[in-house]
Amino acid sequence: MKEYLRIGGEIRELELIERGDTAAVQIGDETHEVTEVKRDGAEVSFTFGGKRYTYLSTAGRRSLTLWREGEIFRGERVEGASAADDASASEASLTSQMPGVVLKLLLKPGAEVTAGTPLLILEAMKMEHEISAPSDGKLVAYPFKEGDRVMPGDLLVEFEAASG
Amino acid sequence: MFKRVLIANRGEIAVRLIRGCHEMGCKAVAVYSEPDADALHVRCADEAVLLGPAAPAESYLNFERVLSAARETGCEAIHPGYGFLAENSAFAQAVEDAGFVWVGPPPDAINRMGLKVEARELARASGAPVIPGFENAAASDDEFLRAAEEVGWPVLVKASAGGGGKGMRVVHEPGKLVAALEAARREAEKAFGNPAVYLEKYIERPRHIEIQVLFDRDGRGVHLGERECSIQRRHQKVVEETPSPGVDAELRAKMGEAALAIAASVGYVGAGTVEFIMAPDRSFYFLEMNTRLQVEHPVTEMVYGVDLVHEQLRIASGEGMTLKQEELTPRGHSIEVRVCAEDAEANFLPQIGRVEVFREPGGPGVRFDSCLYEGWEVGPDYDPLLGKLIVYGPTRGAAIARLQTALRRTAVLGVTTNLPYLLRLVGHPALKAGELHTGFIEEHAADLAPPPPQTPELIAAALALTKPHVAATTAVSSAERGIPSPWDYLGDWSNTG
Repeated sequence: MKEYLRIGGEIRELELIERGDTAAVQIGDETHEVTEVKRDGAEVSFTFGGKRYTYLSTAGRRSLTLWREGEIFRGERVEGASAADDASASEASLTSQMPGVVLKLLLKPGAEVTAGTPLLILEAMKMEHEISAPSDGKLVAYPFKEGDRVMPGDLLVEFEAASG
Repeated sequence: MFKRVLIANRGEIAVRLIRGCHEMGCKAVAVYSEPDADALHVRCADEAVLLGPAAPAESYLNFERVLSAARETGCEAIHPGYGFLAENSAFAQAVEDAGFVWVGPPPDAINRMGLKVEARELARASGAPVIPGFENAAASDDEFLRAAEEVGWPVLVKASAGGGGKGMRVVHEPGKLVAALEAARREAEKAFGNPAVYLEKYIERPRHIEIQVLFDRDGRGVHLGERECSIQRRHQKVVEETPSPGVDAELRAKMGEAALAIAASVGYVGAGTVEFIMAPDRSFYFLEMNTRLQVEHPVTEMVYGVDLVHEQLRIASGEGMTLKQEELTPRGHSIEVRVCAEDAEANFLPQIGRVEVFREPGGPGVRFDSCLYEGWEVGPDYDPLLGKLIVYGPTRGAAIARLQTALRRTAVLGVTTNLPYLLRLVGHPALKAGELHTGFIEEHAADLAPPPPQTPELIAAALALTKPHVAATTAVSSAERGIPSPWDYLGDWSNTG
């Protein structure tokens, strides 16, 4: 089965074919042979290119985290159909990640903005967080008003990316 | 010494204070809010009392509840830690009025140092340098110009009613001052409804240097050198160390004396910290005094071999000063980093989640003051500080190398933390070179971005994704439990999705 992971803003296609403790992992166009695959609790170990690797990992419905000697890699699972769709990436950045309160709506709906323009200030965990435009485009609407409580997954700003 | 002390706090500092009490032979009573019922401080304490719901006003800031918890459990003293009630002079007074000992300075000292204008005046009167400036709302532009010439360029124009950088302007030359004053007044009027602005000397590439002081009840005080906390993000300290690479023994003595004089001027008792900013030419200016134990107190403990919590408890219980200034010399080097539940790749947004995997670093010279354990649910109600990783080494270089190693050995999975960011920060050549200033993080932002993932990581991702490896017993948080999904048995990550 193909899996799509968004890692650091880029969507990667991964596929795994396993035969016992040996696996072939397809990443994009390249296939990699990995051997001596072992799983133990949160640990995943394997040999690749003559080197042994061990990662700690946790996975959830939509995200995956890998840890090895201080390095952390996080991937967000995306559905095959939306994997090629850039809009979902920009939408994710306009979605509340935390329960919080909308502190300030900074612009008027209809405003044309450039990428990075602050659009809204969210207060979560006693701190202010700026939500800014993911690309050049138009601020369509604010679904919430100042003072409203929001939950993780709530879309904070309706935004239309400039075409072209 | 006290028999029983109430710890009016939560998180890593409550855990650390409970340990300090136990080491001094006192029992420690924890207090907690509803979402903190399973917090580590509740588990470490000899007894724990529920204060109320999550909202601080109904729990950790609730005078009456905290005092009645102390009464119910027979405590003699109350230690406030930092934050919450620590710098609340009305609470300190209420503690004393209720017949308990307040482990902190007299309420009047808290109050006077809390008023920023009065604190500056106190510092000036004690002979400590304060940032030269000019404040006169009625002054003409010409008077401002003359004042700026006197203070010296560049100058900073600030809103009198302000904060948060609004109405703030740096002006490098006389020709641009009038325009800057006008713009700042407009911004201040819009933001605060008050156009008054003032002017002070602008210090480029300043360092944040603070001095730890300790006074007994008879007014005998010592200082325990400096901590450098220049590496900050949005005014939040991230890395703290001592000794500062920018301070030598002579300057330490000078700043120490200034700090002692300021603290003595309000009849200070207990542990406190006097903060200064330092210019590249090593001139220093009083910023403010924090009338409590600081988050970063452990680095001082490491190089002075003094336990500040023990000293606080000794002083509060009426014992006299046992430390002698001439015997207080820093040995070696200590650095601390603040481990927070925040996502460095998403504008440091605070994170919540269940701690699925926790591996603590160890070895000589490594200390991890935290409130973490596997299974602990990091919630949205309080600040995101999870712990502090503190290391000691014979030299600064050795301490940095030890900190890098310890950071690599620390695993927290299940809630996103800033650990990988801290590793990049501590490994930065400018940090190793000691080129510190409060704009460090902005200056080096591009270098601190994460590297792109390599093939082995992607292989591990494929392996981890296609076969469940997190135990099926992993708790899945409430809302998701009822929904059958092929991913349910992997544990719950919906909070970050």
